[in-house]
Amino acid sequence: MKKKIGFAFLAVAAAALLIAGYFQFLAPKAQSGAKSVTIRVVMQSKGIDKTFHYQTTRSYVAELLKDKQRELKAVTKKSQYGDFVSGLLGVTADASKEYFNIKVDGKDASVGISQLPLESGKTYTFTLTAL
Amino acid sequence: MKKHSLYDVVLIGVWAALTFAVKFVLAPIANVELVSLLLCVFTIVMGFRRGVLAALVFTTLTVLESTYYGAGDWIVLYYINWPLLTVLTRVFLRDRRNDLRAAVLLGLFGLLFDIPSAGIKLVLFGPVYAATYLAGGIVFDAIHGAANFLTALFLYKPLCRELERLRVKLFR
Repeated sequence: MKKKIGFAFLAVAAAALLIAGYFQFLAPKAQSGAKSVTIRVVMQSKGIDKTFHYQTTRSYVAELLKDKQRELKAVTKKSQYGDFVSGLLGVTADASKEYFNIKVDGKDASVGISQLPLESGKTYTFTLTAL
Repeated sequence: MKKHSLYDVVLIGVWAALTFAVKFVLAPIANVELVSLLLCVFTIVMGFRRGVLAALVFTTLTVLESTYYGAGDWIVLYYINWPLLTVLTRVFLRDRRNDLRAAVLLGLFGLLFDIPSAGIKLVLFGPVYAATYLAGGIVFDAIHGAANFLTALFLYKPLCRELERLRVKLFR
């Protein structure tokens, strides 16, 4: 049993090391200071395609969405994989058939809004997309 | 197989349903699952053919569940990964008493779970998307691998023992 507990500790340590390595070398890093970013919301089925330009000192997209709550009307939900956007501009995505896809300068975001850093000059596009 | 065909149908169905139920119960805990262990143990004790069939029935149940949660390319991944696990079990766990080997196998299976999915994304969306997908999933894969290792290390032997007892009763 002692041997098994030792192996268990080793496995947990290896996983922790891998996760630490990810955050140290691979995870997207936040930019400090003022930045100018664009938020675009596209919902083809609703005929919505709106663009918003913001100056912000915030580091992550989730923080900006919260700051601009009145204008963007962003609804976020917590999940085991982090926060995700379930509604924008008063439209709520039907989780059984659609979701808000996030693109940064046209490329799919690899992390959720809480980890997605704001970078000056970039456009963050939220598109209501069928599953 | 023919002699016990009715037993087999029931057994495979019940095990797939049990595996599905356990998956459902553990769903709130990200990347901690017992599906790998249950399919591995079933393959070890009940044989490779029953193991593959249980993996396929379980996967189909999960795909049916997607009518509620939404479908995606993960369906292809599931049809690859779960039957593949039974093949790996068959190849690497011929000595069923070696629980450390089972833990290593299931740990690596969890850690590398997304590799076939990255392959699918490579074909569909290109190398950048596939690499981003893999890098973004490292945290979850590490948790998956460690959790699989731990559950197998402590539960593999008792589960094998209990299922073996059931097998002897059913097929004597």
